Amino acid sequence: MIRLENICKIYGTGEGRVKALNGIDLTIEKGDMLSVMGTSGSGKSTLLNILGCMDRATSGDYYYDDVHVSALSAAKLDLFRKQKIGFVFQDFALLPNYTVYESIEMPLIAQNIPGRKRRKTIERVVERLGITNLMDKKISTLSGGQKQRCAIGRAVAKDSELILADEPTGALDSKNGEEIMKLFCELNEEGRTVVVITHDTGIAGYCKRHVRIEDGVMVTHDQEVVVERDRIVTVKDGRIS
Amino acid sequence: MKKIMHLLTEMILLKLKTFIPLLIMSWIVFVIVIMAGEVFLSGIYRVMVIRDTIDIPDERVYYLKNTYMSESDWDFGPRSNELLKELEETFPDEIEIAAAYSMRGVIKLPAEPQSRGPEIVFLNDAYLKMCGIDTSGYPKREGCKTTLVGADLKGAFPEEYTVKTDFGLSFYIAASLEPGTKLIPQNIYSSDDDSKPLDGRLVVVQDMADENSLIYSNDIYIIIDDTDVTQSVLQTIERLNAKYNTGYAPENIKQTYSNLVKNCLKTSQEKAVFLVFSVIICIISVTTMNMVDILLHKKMYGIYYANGFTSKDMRGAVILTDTILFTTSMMLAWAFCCLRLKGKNPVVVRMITDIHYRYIWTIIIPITVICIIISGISAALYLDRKTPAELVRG
Ligand SMILES: Nc1ncnc2c1ncn2[C@@H]1O[C@H](COP(=O)(O)OP(=O)(O)OP(=O)(O)O)[C@@H](O)[C@H]1O
Ligand SMILES: [Mg+2]
Repeated sequence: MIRLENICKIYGTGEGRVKALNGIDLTIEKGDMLSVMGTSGSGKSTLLNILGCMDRATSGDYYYDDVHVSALSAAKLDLFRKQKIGFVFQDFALLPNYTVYESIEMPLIAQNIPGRKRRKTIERVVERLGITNLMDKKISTLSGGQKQRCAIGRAVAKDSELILADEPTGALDSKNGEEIMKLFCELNEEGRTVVVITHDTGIAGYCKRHVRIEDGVMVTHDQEVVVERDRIVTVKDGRIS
Repeated sequence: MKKIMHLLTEMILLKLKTFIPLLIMSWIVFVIVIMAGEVFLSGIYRVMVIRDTIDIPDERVYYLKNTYMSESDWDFGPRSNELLKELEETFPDEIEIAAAYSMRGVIKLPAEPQSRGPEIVFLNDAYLKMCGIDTSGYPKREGCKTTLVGADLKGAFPEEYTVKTDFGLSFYIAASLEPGTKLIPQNIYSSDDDSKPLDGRLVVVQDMADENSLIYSNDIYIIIDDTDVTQSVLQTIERLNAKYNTGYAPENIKQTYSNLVKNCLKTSQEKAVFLVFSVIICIISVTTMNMVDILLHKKMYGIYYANGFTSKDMRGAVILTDTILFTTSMMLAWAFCCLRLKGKNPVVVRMITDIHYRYIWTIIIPITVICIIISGISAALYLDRKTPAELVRG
């Protein structure tokens, strides 16, 4: 479904030039559930931004199904993003004076979903995330974990094929983190493709495939230990064995 | 559309914190521009009124330009009256003498000379009509579109106002109200400069015992209905000039008008510069304020983008917000300028209202539209250049 070929991303120019991604090749199949790991500053968020059409690669090709995404015009990219992508930002990217309800409603409005259907969808989502009681609270009054769940709610509310989450459990305790991962698993079982960035091997364990990035390059670890739902498994060539 | 409306309300609500300061700032800018326009347009108001009120074919109208200069010749008015009377008698059916387009006012003496307090008399139908004053009840000099307006205007001009003149209209004020008394020039003020007395030769105050006696107006127009006699009318004027020692130089109204425009513009040059300057400052400051606002709300725009709004939606919402913002501040500025007129004398109010009306349509609304377009385009260009990731980062 997704094919990245030799993706490079360079931030800035001259002295302050940072090569955040350096020739990433990655294929993600439909229905996959992928974890992306790596040290801080290795380029995970950069990769996710490119996958989610939030940013453009400096060079390289991005194909989604038959669409050559990296060659799309800005307007087409807008539409593409609107239709295909559900995105959880690392810093949540919520508007402080919105309520939880309004935050989750935003992408639904962008998709022209009628009011009553929006309400139903949102009610279902907040219930799944266990934040029904927060629905009318302002974002600025929420805790980090509550914000995170709201951001996730916003990303999964619309029927997007691809859900991209940048450390979706970073602000949550392990119990809530697992709840969230279970939700992602359910969404994945419903047929949605999920990519999750995480530092937590336990969280990564919920995923079917794993990749690791170091200094903007994909490194394939032959042997990587992940804790998958309380049992230790090994990963070989990015696949759980 | 629904989407844009949603975005719009959200943006205004969200922007509320900056929306109000933005509104106030653009309001101030618009007030300045409107005031600059008032100052400039009142300077050329006379030209505008003449342009709008003269509906007679130009080639038929001659302006009796007064080249006779003598400050101490207080007999000029009666001689001028004699000249006009004789001219009318020579061409009873072919010409019409009118002071209808005159912008001068003169002093009427009260019935009892002892009861002091100046009243102002206008000799200008067109102007009075414009001021909404019904002139039908006032005595008219036969064959002349001149109207004498008396006591009814009393009170319309507060005492202190009568001493000053304004808006390109010269109001002549008598200092001494004895019938036939000569004016004291120091008490007559120029329209362009309140502190500079006009010379008094233009006004002759006559005994009002005779209702029909002409109160001299400096602006006399001769409308030649039968153009075959044009040459002989002009020759007659020349002859009568010699007879009455008046020094009138007839000049076609077209020429007069263009001279008037030139003179008005010349004397209003600084005002014009100020106006142009304020318009430029207005456009620059309003659009810059808007851009600063966009930069302040970068993250918000990024979040909208990231969540499925397209740049088309955003552009629509930005332009609509700006339209609401600028139109509101423009209207409020206009309202403020109108409120400022409260309690002022009705003639001035009418004049400024008239100026506003013309000015708002020809200058302020286009400026507002330009501001909206520039702000919309600059915001759209900026947002299009940025990716959602860049915007969200703030
Ligand atoms: N907008 C930017 N301008 C300049 N450099 C940037 C920008 N965004 C990221 N970088 C740099 O690119 C590199 C990769 O950043 P990225 O955010 O992708 O890391 P990450 O793997 O997500 O790290 P973390 O785990 O801390 O979130 C880092 O060196 C970072 O400093
Ligand atoms: Mg990151």
